Order: sequence, then structure tokens, then C-alpha cells
Amino acid sequence: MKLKVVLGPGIAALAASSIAVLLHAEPPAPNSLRVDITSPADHSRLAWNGQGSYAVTVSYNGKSSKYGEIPSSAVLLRTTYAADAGAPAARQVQPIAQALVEIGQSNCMGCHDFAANSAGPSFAAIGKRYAGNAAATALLADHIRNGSSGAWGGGSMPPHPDLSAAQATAIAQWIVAHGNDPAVHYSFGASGSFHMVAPVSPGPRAGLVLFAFYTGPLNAGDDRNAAAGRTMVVVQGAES
Amino acid sequence: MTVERRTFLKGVAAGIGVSMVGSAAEARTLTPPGAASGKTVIVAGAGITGLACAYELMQRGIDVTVLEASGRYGGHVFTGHDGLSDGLWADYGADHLTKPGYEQFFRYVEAFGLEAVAYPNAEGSPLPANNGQLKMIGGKFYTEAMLADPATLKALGFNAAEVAFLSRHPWYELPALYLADTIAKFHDPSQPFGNGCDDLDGIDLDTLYARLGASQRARDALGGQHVNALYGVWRFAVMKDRGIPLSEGETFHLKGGNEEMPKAFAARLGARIRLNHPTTAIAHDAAGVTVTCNAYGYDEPQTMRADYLVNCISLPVFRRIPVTPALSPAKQYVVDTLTYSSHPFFVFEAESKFWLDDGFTTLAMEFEHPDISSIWVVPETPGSTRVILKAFGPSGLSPQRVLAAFREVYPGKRDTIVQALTYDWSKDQFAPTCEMEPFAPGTLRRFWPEILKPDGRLYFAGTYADALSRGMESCVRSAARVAEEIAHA
Repeated sequence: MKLKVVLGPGIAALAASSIAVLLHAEPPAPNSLRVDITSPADHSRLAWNGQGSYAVTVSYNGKSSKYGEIPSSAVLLRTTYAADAGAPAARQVQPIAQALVEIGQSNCMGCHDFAANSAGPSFAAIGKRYAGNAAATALLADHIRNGSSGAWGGGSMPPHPDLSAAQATAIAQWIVAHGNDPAVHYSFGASGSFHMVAPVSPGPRAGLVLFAFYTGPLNAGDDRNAAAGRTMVVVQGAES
Repeated sequence: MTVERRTFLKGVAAGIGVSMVGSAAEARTLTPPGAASGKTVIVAGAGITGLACAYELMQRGIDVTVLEASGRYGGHVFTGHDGLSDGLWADYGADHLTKPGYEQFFRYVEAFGLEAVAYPNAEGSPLPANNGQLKMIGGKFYTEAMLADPATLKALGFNAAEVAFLSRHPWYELPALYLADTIAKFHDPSQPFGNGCDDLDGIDLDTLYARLGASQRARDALGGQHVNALYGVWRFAVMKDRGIPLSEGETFHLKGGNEEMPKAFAARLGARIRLNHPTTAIAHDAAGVTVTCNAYGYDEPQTMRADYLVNCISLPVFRRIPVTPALSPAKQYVVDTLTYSSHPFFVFEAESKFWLDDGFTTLAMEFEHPDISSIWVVPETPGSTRVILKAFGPSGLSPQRVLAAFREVYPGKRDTIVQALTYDWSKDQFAPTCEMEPFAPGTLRRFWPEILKPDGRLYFAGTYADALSRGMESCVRSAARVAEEIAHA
């Protein structure tokens, strides 16, 4: 299997040193949240418009996604386009929206995907339809909580009485504001694929910043945006 | 592919046998037709499609390996026993077969010595007619005889032509009143286009019914909003061509559960099936395919090389797997845009046929409650006096909530239900979807015939990849078609 993951000599050294750092780092307390992107390698290179595989392991409270103790569905990968992916600014932690945590913990992803249709319309399609519509958030929040049918096709959306009004509103707001963002893409699952897509014509330094999050329940006082481990990697774009 | 395309497409629609089952091939062990070819194929996904495709390839002497991501084969064909007594079972996915309409499937039933059991009124089937079904409209229950009464029909809001028609025909034949002439135009039902109806691609079926003079009441009964009108009419034309009536035919299921079919395929495929081997990457070139997968519990990926790959994974799950080089834009559109349905069945176990005590001959009812839309009886299991009922309700609800809704709307005095179960497909990582939804208006030209085509050495089979997407039959038909294409490639 050739994914065209090409490491330049300098980059290889960099990657090797970061692995060394990883290995020699103080081991975190066994119960603390740890998220590791095990593939792709940091600073790897992938052709624009291609697809790459990713794999993430999460451990928390003595449990691990590796052994199914943390469900794969509680892992979220975010890929963000960066015009200068090598710059330190690109590597800064951008917290995950709480709405995505709610989406991950409800059963939304059973029928919806971020950018493609499945049983329900994609969040991108919903975001596109309702962009700039001031009444959309309330309408969608109502659809989420009470169900709806006929808005997109023959299928119907079931009610979600388990979600509070505030949670449903947060999800609706996120979908309208960010569902159709061409620069940021998401994928739930401990492994999966990502597309090397750029919202603009990418320059030579452009790439994607991959950030992995745990979206499952947290102990009081823990912060899912401050996980230990290799939570972020940069994939440089290459000419396709 | 050596079969000329138009001939091949005709064969697809007409259901011309491309399968190797039921012939001498099942008994024959040596020198099958493809043996000399030395071809190797990886089938991704061991649902009913993948298993049927692998079986058909094996019958042609082709070296096949099936990679299944989950720990069981069968996918959305799932017979569950947990939580039920007396060895009872329930099909939580594929519910029934029809006659006519499941010709390819029944070839396997026969060849494998399985037994189909009559399953009247399955999943709301109108057959057998006048079997005691009840339909709630406006809070009131109607029998079929009542629904054929002109005064009742008029009061419900049907127009004069519809009243005349429905007093002589069952409700499920209503499409014929408006579409018979359009359906008759399909001189070549192997494909939607070129039959003088191409302009229907732009509108939905509901709009077509309105244009043809249907009342609002008839349009409500017919559905058709968001359904591509050309697709809708073409579908009826293919059904007509295959001899499938508007009732959709008589309904059956397999003795022991519909999972007996995946089991029968798997028994014949043996070690060719690798469970818990999720496909994680696909690379393809002019000479073959390289597939990366993970064995259960191992981090180290394995790679396999083969001449062809058949994707039998539903498209929303397939698109999580990176394909290098990327699929053609036309194929990617299909992969990203095809919409599926997904719904749960709610399964109740009752201690007796309680509805008989209430004077109902059967329990086949349609409701208007938001938490339950219909209920029907599953044929009894020998040796048990307990009965299994199946109900439709929205996904995400607990079975107890659906049972409570049933108790609100059931017109009898009491029930003897003692268990309520469901399987939430929306939480299933690898088989979350059921059948494809109808194409949206304006999109058929982008789907057809791209939906059937291979992309290089990657072939596609599944419920969607047939001229008539219709349950397990379209799965096994598309599987046999692809096996034949690869054998001749």
C-alpha cells in the first residue's frame, strides 16, 4: 500500500526527534486523558485532492479505545486548512466546539455525516441551505428535539427528547454557522480517512492540521482540549 | 467487459440469469468456467451482497477473499434471539421476501435447501387481501371493505375519478390510475432515459400526480414528494417488466430467520471470509488493487493484492476508506450523494394471540401515533404458543415507549405483551443503513448509469446497484451481475 507518504531528510529527523520526545516524556497519570494520533506521521506529505488514512488511540480513566473500552465513536478528528502549515501558529490548540461533543454523544452520526449524505442530509448541506437565515437556529433546534419529516426527502428525523433545549440550540447554531465551512472538516471514529482538500488554491507551504479529540463523558474538572499525547499532526500538501 | 453495454443493461433489468446457482455448478467441484483465468478478487463487506458476490465468483473458479469489518457476517440481514423465549427469533433488518420479485433470491433458497415460510401482511403488505387489516384515518379505524365504499372515499376527499377507481381497486393500485399511460411508454425499461419521459427527471412524483389531476387526498396517500418522477415511473415500469404487481407480491421469510441465507453462503465460502478485518485503505492501478486491512486486535496493518475489488460496503461506510488514486468525480458524486433509509423494527413478544379475544382476526394495523405507525404478526414458531409482533416506529425511541404508544392506540381491551426489544441500527458502526432512498428530482442523470459502473478495477454491488433497488433481491442481483462482469473482464 503506497500512500505517497514521503519524508524529506530534514522532516524525517524532525519526526524522529518528536517521537524521541514522546518516548522520553514524563508518563502521564494512568487515569488522565491521553489522545494520540498514531497515523499519519507529523510533517508527512500527501498530494492535494487525495485521501489519507488516520488512526487515533484514546485512553482515559484506565480505559482505552484500543480495547473497545472507549467506543470508536467517541473520537473526533478535525482537519483544518492552513496556508502555512509549518508555522508555529498552525499548531496552536483550537478548542473543540461543545456542540460537536453533543453531536458525538447523541446518535446524530448514525444518520448524518459532515459533508456527504447518508440516511439524512449532510451538515454541510443543512448549513448551506440555512446560511444567513436568522430563524434557522430555532427551526433546526425544534427539528432536533421534536423530529421532522419532509424537509429533505422521504425520510424522517426522529425526536431527541434526551437533548435539552440548550443542547439542541447549540447543535443547530453550530450546523448553521460552521457546518459548511470549506476550510474545516471532521470525522468521527478512531480510524478513518481525510481528504486533502483546500478551500483556495494551495501555496507551497499549505497543508492540513489534524487535531484529535475525545468526545465522551468527562470527570469533573477535566478538559478535553488539554489532553496529553500527540493530539495534533501537520500534513503538508504536495502537488497532485 | 465483453458483454455489449446495451445488451448487458437489458439483461440487468430483465433479470436474465447471470448467476451460477441452481445449475450443475452447485454440485460441481472441478473446472468451473473461470478456473483457467487465475483471477483474484477481494470482496469488501460480508453483508448479503458481499457473500452472494463472493459465492458467485467462487462458482466461477475465481480466487476470492471477503473482508468483513465486524465480528459477524450478514450485515443488515440480522436474526436476533436474545431476550426472546422458547427459541423465538426476530429479523431486525431485512424482513421479508416477495413472490414474485425475488427470483434470484429464490434460486439460492432452492439450491441451498432452505425453506421459505408464508408471512402474511409482512411489514404492512396488503396481501392477503381482506385478511382483517385495519387502517386508522382521522382517529378512526377502517377495514378494506370500508375503504372501498364510495361514500367513505368521497368523505375522505378523493375526487370522482379516484372514488370510481378505488371502489373497484385496492388502494395500492392507485398509482395505475395516473401513471398507466406514462409507464406504457417505457419500451426499454432497462434504463430510465430514452423512453420519451426524460423531462420527468426535473420534477418530483407528487408534482406529476398533481399535473395529472390527482386530488390532494390522493397525493397524500400516494406520497411522492422529493421522489424523482422519472425514477418513480421507471421503477413501476421495471416492476411491470418483471411481473411484480403493485401489491409488491405475496410475502415470505426464511424458516429460522432471514440470516439463514447469509449463513448458507458463508458455509460454502468457509475460510474465504475474514471477520473483524476492516478495510482501511484501497489503492488501485491498471494492473490490480492493493487493500490494507487490520486483523482483529492487531495494530500492524496487512496488505493484500488482487486483480479486482468489489465494494459491497454501503456507501456511507465505504467513503470513510481512503481510495488512491481518488475515484472519478462522477463516481465520487454517487458515493457522496446517494441517500439511504434506515429504520428500526420494534419487536414485541406476547404470551398469546390476544387480539382474537378482542374479536380481531389478525393484528395488522396502521396507526397515526407519532411513536408507532404500524404493527403486524410474525408467523408462529413450531413448539411455542408465544407470538412475535413487529412494529414500525421512529429510530431513537426505546421499545418500551413504542409499546406504550401501541397500548394507547390498540382498539382492543388488553394485550399479553411481556417483552419489547429493538436493534438501533443508527448506532451500528458498519451496517447502519438499509435500502437506498429514491433519487431526488434533477439528479437521475448523474446517478444513472454511473451507479452500476466500475471505477477502474473497483466494482460496486449493493442494494442500490440494480435497475430496481428492492431489498435483498437487488443485493443478490447486483452481486451476480458484478461476478459475471469480472469473469468476463
